[in-house]
Amino acid sequence: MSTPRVLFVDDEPRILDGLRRSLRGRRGEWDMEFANGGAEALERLAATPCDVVVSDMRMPGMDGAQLLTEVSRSHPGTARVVLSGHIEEEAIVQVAMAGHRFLTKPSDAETLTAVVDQLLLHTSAAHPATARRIAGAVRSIPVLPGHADGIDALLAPDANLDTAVSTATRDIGLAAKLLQLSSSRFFGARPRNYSIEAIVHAMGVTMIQAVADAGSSWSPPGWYPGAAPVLAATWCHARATARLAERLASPANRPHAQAAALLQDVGRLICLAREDGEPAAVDLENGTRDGVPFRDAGVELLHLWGVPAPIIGAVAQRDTPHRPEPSGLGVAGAVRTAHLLVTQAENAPGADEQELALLLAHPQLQAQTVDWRQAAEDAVRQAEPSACGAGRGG
Amino acid sequence: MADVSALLETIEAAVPAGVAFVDERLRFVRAGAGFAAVTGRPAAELAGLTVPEALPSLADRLEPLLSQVLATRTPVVGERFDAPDATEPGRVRTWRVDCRPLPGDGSPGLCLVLTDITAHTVATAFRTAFMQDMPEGLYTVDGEGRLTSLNRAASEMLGWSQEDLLGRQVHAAVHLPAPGGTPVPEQDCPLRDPAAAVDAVFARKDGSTFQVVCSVAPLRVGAGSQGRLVTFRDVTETRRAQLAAHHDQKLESLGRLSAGLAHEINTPIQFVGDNTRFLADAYQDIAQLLMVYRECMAPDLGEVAWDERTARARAAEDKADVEYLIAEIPVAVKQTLEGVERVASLVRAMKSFSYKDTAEQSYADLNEAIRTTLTVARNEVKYVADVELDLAELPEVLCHRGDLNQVFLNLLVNAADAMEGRGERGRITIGTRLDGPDVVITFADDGSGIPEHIRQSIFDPFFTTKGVGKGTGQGLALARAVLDRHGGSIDVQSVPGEGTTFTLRLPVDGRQDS
Repeated sequence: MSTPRVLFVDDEPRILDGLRRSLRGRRGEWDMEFANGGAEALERLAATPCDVVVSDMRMPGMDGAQLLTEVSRSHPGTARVVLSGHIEEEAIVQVAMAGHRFLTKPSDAETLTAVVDQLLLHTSAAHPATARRIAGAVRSIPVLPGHADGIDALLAPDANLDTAVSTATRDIGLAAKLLQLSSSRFFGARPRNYSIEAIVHAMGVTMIQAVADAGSSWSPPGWYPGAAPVLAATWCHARATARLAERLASPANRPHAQAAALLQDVGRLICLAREDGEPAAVDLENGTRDGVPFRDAGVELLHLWGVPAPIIGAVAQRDTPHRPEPSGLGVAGAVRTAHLLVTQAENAPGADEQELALLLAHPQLQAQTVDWRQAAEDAVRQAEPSACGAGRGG
Repeated sequence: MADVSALLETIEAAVPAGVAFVDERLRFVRAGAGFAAVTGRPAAELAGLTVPEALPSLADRLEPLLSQVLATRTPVVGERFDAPDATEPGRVRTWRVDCRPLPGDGSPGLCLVLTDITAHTVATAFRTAFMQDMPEGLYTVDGEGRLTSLNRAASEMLGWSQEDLLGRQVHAAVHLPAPGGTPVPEQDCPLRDPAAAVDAVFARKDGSTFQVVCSVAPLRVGAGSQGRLVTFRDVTETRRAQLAAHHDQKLESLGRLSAGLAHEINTPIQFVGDNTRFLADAYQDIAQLLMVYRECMAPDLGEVAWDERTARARAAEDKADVEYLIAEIPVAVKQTLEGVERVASLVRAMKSFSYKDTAEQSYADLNEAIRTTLTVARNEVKYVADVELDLAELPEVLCHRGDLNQVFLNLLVNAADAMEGRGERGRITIGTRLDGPDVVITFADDGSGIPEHIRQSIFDPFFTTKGVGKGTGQGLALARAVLDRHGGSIDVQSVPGEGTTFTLRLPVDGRQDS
């Protein structure tokens, strides 16, 4: 593999000088380029693609949000990092959609290099470049047609924190976006923990509404033919699993288990959304796009977006038979168990009864007097039966 | 009888009213010339017509009344009717009706007198509105300044009744005793001459005071010297609200500034940090290099050949990339110090900008104030326009510096906002010059300009063309208020599509209170 290339963009030459010097220690590992503005950055990218671009936001001419949006279109394989001292209220939502990671100025070299190093890692060993390209192009995850009621309620003028929490814990796209944004102070206070509820509380209703509005306004021109029933089933399965995983997980793991269950098939959503005239080979039967399994694309997206590692791990391992540690089920174990239970409750194929029996026998679950299979039936029923009818038995 | 008839005709003509005689079937026997005005047709045509035929608009009320007089033979005096004007549709007139049965046996008929009292009624209504209902205070005085009337609102505001003050000098009662008012004798009172919008302080009966705005008009009633009519409004609350609005405006621009200031400070902090980290790394490299040198110099390397020693030193120098370090370290230090100075000057400017005014004016360098404002607001401007300063040598100006800073900031931010949608960078020129006893300051931009139809409104409070949340429309209103307070002025010239220039004029020696 060739030396990774990192492009830094800032209108203030002193910033670029400072970065060049402080990152000099990495000169053996990275090829670093420095551009004085958005237009120059695009020229450099056109000449030689980069792995990561780190950009200031407020710049004369083309600003950072415009630059990164353009990069997401013409260079989806390039990871996009925002490094900014301040983001104006009006620009904050565009920035939230355009960037993958968000760093505040001042950031020390260690923080910056850690983020760049992370982004240089690819989660898909089999299809590193293609998975990066598919995931990298995503700026927000569209709402499924017919599932916009939660977003509509959130955008209503009388929406309050409770509305926001209830929408965010049930909407896959919004939950993923909030997890992505929660690590940066640009979008509100730091949450107490990475539960979606805590993130909503920290960001506040106004910010959540702005994010939801910007995210839902990006709806793809269409979905791949035949995707509709798959997507409906995915949506309901995720909601039911999230409900159940939250109960299955230990208190400490609850926030991550709930989020991972909700996001378990995020890859399917992003692979089935079709951008303008984009030629892509989707194989619905085998669950691949351009040869990349949906799951790989989803995991790569969560990695690019900086979602907490336990969530990524649980999503990555959802289809891997789980052998729990006696000490605890863990996030991945809770999500896998919930997934199997819900699959069985949906009368869908694929739930290995032997594995499930083993998981249910785990001391952590035995300690609770709950009929988990019944709980799964309830969760499936509660996951909006009207909207989920199409997916039942699928 | 001819004499009587002539006398009758003379009376009918002389009385400013309609006089008529009506028979027992309410038929006009004769009508005086005055009835022509009432009915809108010549009096001669009326004979033989019934009252309802001749006066359709009054008929429904007049007819029963007349019948009643006929039946009871009791006169009716001073009854009032409102009715549409017969000649001028849409206008309502008020009539006084007097009716008296004619003497004699049987049913000899009656005498009917209709008087147009519209003017009087209107005057009375006006008087009631002025004296009873109007929320503004009103009083009238004679030529010696003695009260002749006081309306209800004035009485409530002042705590004095009309009877208390009647015949007393108003100036002595309510104007003179107010601390902060006008402690001048009556003949010098500013309320002696016709004027509009005079600021004054009035005292209530209990001694407490309030701020008012007065208007004075001449009033001549009957003979004697000319009196005056004074209206006034209690503006204490308005003034308080203006103060609050001023404060809001300051907070608004502070909020906008603080975001920009954060950006202006974070940028140097970022590169100062990066450069310092580089210097720390560079120091490590150099220290390691020094260790190698020291080793090479050590006598216990005795038998090691000089060539070998130089080779080791060379290798260490290459590893440390000495040429790079020698070239970069001084620049890194220079840029670090520059960054520190940037933050320091910003903090100085913020301190100077947020200068807290005392009640008294003080002398200040306005060129310095403009530079300070520019430093503080740099982030608001630098992405959209270049700023050119054309500052002449100025004497220090007696002023409220903090308020002027605020005005400069508002004008600068407006100029920057005027660049919106013009595509390329604009130019803002700030100039100062001395013009006789005044300092003239201009803020010129080549932005979008102000359309003709709103140019009159831009100084009005709450007038704004900016989007919701972008501006409260206080900036220019505040600027005008501040300039007024300094005895100065603010004017605007603008050509849509070409730009706008605001011109401020301030007396060097402050407001000259005469």
